[in-house]
Formats: sequence, C-alpha cells, structure tokens
Amino acid sequence: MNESIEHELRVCVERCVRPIRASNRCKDRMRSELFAHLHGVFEDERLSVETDEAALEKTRQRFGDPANICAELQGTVPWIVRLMCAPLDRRGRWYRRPHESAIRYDFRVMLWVGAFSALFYTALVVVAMVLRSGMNRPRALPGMLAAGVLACMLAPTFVLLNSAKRESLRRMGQWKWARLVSFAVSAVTGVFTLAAIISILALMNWTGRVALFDLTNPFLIGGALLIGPLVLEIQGRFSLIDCLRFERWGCLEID
Amino acid sequence: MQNIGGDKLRGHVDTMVLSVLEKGDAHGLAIIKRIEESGSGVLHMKEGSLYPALYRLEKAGLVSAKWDEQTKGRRGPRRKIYKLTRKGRNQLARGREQWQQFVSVVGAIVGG
Repeated sequence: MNESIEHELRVCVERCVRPIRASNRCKDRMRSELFAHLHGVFEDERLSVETDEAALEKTRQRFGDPANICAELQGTVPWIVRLMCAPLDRRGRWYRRPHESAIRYDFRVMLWVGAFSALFYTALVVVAMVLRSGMNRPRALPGMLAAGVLACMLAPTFVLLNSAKRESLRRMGQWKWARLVSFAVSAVTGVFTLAAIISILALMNWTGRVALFDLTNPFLIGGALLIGPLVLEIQGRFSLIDCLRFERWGCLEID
Repeated sequence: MQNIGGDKLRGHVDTMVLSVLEKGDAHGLAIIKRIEESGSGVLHMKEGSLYPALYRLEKAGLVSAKWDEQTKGRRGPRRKIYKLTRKGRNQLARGREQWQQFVSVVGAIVGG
C-alpha cells in the first residue's frame, strides 16, 4: 500500500472519529481499530479490481457514511465523558490547528489557561468567602488579590514551560538547555505557587500551624522546589504523547 | 432474495456477534465476514453497527479484547482480537432462548 492510499484511509477514519466527544485514549483506540479494519477491506478489494484508486473507492463505499458511524460510536461513550470532553473537541481549541506554528499554538493555549485560571480563582474566592463568612476580609483581600494575579500569571507560564519540556523530551540530547531551564524555572514557579496557596489559606485562617509561607522552613522550601519540576516532568510526557498523536491524526485535513 | 441490513438487524447484533465469536476469536473485519458468509450473501452488517456493539459487549464483560501485535505473515497495522468470555457464553445461551421464543411467537402470527 502506498503512502497516499494510507493517507486517504486515515482521512476516512478521522472523519468518523474526530467529531466524537470522548477521551483521547478512547478515540485513539477507535482510530487504530478502524484503520486496521479499513486496511483489511482495502486489501480485499485490491484483489478484485485493477487499480489502487478503484479499490479505495470500493473501500469507501463499503465503509459507508462516516457521519453515521460517528453517531453510532458516540452512543458508546458515557454521557459524563461526553459532557467533559465537549468544550475540548467541538472547536478543537486545545489541539494544534493544521498549519499553526508551535509558538502561535502555545500563545493561544496560554491565553486560554490564563483566562481559565482567572475564572477558577474567582470562583474559589467566592466559595471561600461564602464558607468563611467570619474571616477578616479587609486583611485577607490584598493577599487574595495578589495570589490571584500570581495564579493567573503562573498558569500561562507553566504552559510555556510545558512546551519547552515537551520539545526537549522530543529532541533528547539536542535540547538539553531547554530541559535545564524548564527545571529551574518550574522549581521557582513551584515555590511561588505553594507560597500563594499557603498564604491565602493562612489569610483565611484555614491553616493551623503554618501562618504564612515560611522561607526559613527547609521542608517547605524543599517541597516547593520539587513540586514544579515533578509536575512539569509528568505533564511534559503526557503532552508529548498528545503531540505525537496530533502529528499522526490531528493534522489530517478531513473537510 | 432481499438484502437484510440496517434496522432489520437492530436488536440482534449483540447476539449475532457473540454467536460468531463462539466459533473462535476474531477481529472486527473477520466478524463481519463470518456474519456475511453465514447470512448467505443477503445479510450485510455495517461497521457503524459492529464496532459500537463490540465496545458495548466489551464494557459489559461479555467479550474480552487484546491487540494482536503479530504482523508476521500479513501486512498492515495491528488488529484487535475479540474473545468470548464465560459471561458472554451465558448471555449467548439466554439470547438463543429469547430468539427461539421470538421466532415461535412472531412466526405463529406472521406465518399464518
């Protein structure tokens, strides 16, 4: 089978699978299985016709309407997963668009993460205020505002770090400096993140022993320095898997 | 003879798939082929019916599946092989009973 036929078969599969609202893992399983199926159908058809193109056409006919298959497959996805994946897949916001540069994609994701962080943080503060009606609001407010601004800046920063991490993992050996820098910056980010969390909890009188982030506490500092790189390492590896998956399937033009 | 497919198969796909897997483990395309061969050429099952049924059956524990990594002797990507489980065999026996009942009752009415 030549590359262009394989490409066409992948497009057929992607037309069925891409619109499905399901987890990436589930969709990958569907892709692999349908692709193997189509491959088998094509091999069968190739025996009865003279050209690859004719076999491809017959394969498409046998496969049927992708929209119908998509609808049937969607029915096998639990409603809760469907609901959770809805904003991710319908507009493809979290996926790199075809021909989109890596920098533009990272910037776009950064903006979304920043906006999402701001929303999440606001909701958190509102809930905290409702639950802790007795807290000293004038005292807590500046701290909460500062932590909010920090959270909204740290989250997009983490996106950039994640991107650097992903690229360094992909080009093992070539991007050593990126790994080093991302480790260092994420460690510092971890300190700020933990400081923000502990400080805000302390300001709301939710922490008993720790009043504010204590810079003289070695356990606190050590833990904070480890959190960032650890999260980044795990997230970077997941991100790389996503990226590789995108390169094989997500880039296909299906319209 | 008129082709059988689509809505006419609805409601029977799961039992048909279990029945086919009773004869041996198979991947998706092989299941379709076996069903169509048994159906004397008038029964056509679409992928849109088969794969959702397989996922349903797998989730219910009636079939188990594993990826066939071995590509020796054949070309193409890895395939997923489905196998009937003990629970699936019990379900198939119940499905057959229900089918016999359905055939006798509806046959008595429609058959005249």
